[in-house]
Amino acid sequence: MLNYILRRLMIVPLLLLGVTLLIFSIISLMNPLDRAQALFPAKLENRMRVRDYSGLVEKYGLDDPVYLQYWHWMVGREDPETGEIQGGVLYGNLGWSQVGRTGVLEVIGKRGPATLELILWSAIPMTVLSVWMGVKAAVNHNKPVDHFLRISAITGWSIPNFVFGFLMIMLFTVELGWFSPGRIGLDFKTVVQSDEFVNYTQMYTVDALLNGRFDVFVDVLKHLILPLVTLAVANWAFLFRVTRFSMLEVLNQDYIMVARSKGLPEEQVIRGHAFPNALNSVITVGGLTVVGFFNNAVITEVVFNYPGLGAFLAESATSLDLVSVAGVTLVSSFILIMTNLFVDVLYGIVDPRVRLD
Amino acid sequence: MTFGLILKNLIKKPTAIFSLTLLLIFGAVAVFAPVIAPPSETAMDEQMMLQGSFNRSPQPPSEEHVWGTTVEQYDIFYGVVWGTRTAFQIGIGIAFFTSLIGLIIGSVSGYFGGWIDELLMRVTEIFQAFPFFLIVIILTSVLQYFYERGEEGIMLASTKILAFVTFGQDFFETIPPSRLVFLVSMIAIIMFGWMEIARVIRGNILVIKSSEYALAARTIGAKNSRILFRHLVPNALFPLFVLAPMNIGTYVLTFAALSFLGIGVPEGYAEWGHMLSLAHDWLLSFTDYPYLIIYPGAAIILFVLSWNLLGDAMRDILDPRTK
Repeated sequence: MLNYILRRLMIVPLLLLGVTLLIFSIISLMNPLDRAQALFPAKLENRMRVRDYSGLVEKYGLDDPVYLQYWHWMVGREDPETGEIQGGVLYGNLGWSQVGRTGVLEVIGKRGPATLELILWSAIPMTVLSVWMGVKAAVNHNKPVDHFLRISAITGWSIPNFVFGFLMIMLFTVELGWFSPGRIGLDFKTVVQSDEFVNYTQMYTVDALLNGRFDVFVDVLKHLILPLVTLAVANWAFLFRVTRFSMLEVLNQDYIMVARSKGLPEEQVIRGHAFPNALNSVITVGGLTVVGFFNNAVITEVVFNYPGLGAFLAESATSLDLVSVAGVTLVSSFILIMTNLFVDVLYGIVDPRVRLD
Repeated sequence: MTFGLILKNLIKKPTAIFSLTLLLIFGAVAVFAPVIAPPSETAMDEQMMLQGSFNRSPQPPSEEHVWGTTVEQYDIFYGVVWGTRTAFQIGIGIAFFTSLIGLIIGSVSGYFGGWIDELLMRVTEIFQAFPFFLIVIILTSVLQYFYERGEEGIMLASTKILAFVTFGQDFFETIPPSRLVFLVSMIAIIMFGWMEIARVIRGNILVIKSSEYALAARTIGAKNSRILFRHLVPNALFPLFVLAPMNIGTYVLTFAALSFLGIGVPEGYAEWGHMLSLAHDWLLSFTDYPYLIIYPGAAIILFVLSWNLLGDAMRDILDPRTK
C-alpha cells in the first residue's frame, strides 16, 4: 500500500513541472510589460504611458536565459537595487491582476469561497442523486425507467449550460419572480459586511449559520438555488452514465449469479454485492467530475451574475488580462492534480487489485 | 463488424433513426445555406450575419427578417441557417484533428512501449492536468492577444492547415480576419481535446498487439510500420465510432460556451453560442423578446442531441458489455 501511494506521489512533482512549464511558456510569449506584471506582483502605474520597455527589461531581468526566468518566476528574484525578493509562484505570488486591481492570489482568496460554496451545495446532492438514479436504471435495465433516465441524461448532456440557465431565469426570475440573480440581497449585504457579522469561511451560508443569522442564510440560499440547479443539471448525466454502466457490468458477473442462486433476496444482492463493487469505478471518475464542475461553474456564474472565480476568469479572458487567467488556471490545475492524487489513493484503498500493477 | 452491419443495426434503433434524420436535415441546411438565406452581395464574408438598419433594440419577426433580429440588428434566420454550417465546421473539423492526433500518439505509444510509451503517456497526463474549459479559455485569449497586437504571424501556419480542412481554402489565399479568430479558437480546443482518444487507442493497441495475427505478421518479417498501420490501427479504430460523435457534441458545446463568453468568434459571426450571448442583456424582459433565445437555442440543443444519440446508439452496437 505504502509503495502504491509513493508511486502516485512521485508523479505529482512531474505533473506540476509540466503544468508550470506550459503556463510559463504562455506567459513568455507576452510583451515585457505584461510579463513584468505576470512574473512579479508589480503594480505598474500609468500603463498607457509606458512606451519604453528597456527599463522594465533591465529591472526585472526579462532578457535572462529562459530557464533562469522560469526559476525566477517559481522562487522569486532579487531586486538588484533594493535587494528585496520579488515574485515567486511557490510563495503565492501569482502576479498583478488588472481586472481585479490587486494581486491575483488576493482575488482568488476573495472570490474562491463563493465558487466553493456554489460547487459544494451543488455537488453533494447531485452526486447522491445521480448515483442513486444510475443504480435504479441498471437494476431496471431496458425497462421504461431505464429508458426514461437514459433519454433525460442524454438530453441534459446536450443542453448548453447557459441555455438552461436562461430558461431558469426566464421561468423563476422573470415569470414567477421567486429568485433573483447575484449572490446576496442588498439589505443583507450590509449585514454581512458589518462588524458584528464574523466571516469565518467567507462562504455566506456557513457563516450565517455560525453567526446564528437564519434570515441571511435563507436569503443566500434563495440566490444560490438557480445556479446550483443549473450546475447540477450540467454535471449529473456524466456520473449517472458511469454508475449505470459499471453497475450493469457488475450485475453480469458470476458472483452475482451465485448470490442469486443461493436464494439471497434481490435487494440484498444489489445492496450488499453489486453496489459496493460498482462504486469502485465511480470513484475513479472523481477527478473528471471536479473538472466538470470547474468547467460549468464559469458559464453558470456568468449567466447568474454570481461574483465567483469563474465570473472573474471570464471577465479577465474577455479583457485579455492574461495574467489573471494564467493565475486562476494554475491554481485550478493544482487543485485538480491534488484531487486526482486523492482519488487514486482512495481507489487503492477500496480496490486492492490496483495496488499490484 | 463491417460498415454495412453497423448501418443495419443502426436503423433498427428508433433513437438512431431520429438522430440520423435530424443530422440529414441539418446537413441539408448547411449545404444549401446560400439558397435558403442568400448572403448580401456586398458582404465581405458570408459567415457574418446580415445586418439591418441601425437600431439598438432587437426587432420582432417581420417580412424582411422572418425570425426577427438581435441587438445590433443581426438577422436571426440568417444566423441560424449559416450557424448550421459553422456548427458542422466546428464539430467535424475539431474531431478530425483530435482523432488524428489521438490516433498517432495512442498507437505509437501502445505499439512501441518502453520509454516512448512512458514519455508520451506522461505528456498526456500533463495535458489532462488542466481543467479542459479553463485551459481552452486561456489558450484562446492568448491567441486572440497576438491577433489584437497584429502579431498573427505566429499562428498563421497552423491556421492555414486548419482553414484548408475546415473551409477547403487554398493555402496561398489569405484568411479573412473574421475567420482567423474563429480558427484560433478551434486550435485551442484541438490542442487539449485529443488525450482521451489517445488513451483509448493505446489500450486497444496493447490488447491487439499480443493477438495471433499480429504475431503472425511479425513472424513473416513484416516491418514495424506495416504491422502498425496495416494490421493494428484498422482494428483499434472502432472506439472512434463511439467517441467521435460524442466528441462532436462536446466540441460544439465548448465552442458555443467560448463564444458565449465573447472570445470564440468576432461579433456578428453566424454562430449559435454567439447569438445567444447577444440575448443575455435582454433576458429580464424575455417576454417581449422570446425569439432571441428560442431559435438559436433550439438549433444548438437539437444539433448536439442528435450527435449524442448517434454516439450512444453506436456504443450499444459496438460495445458487447452493454448487451
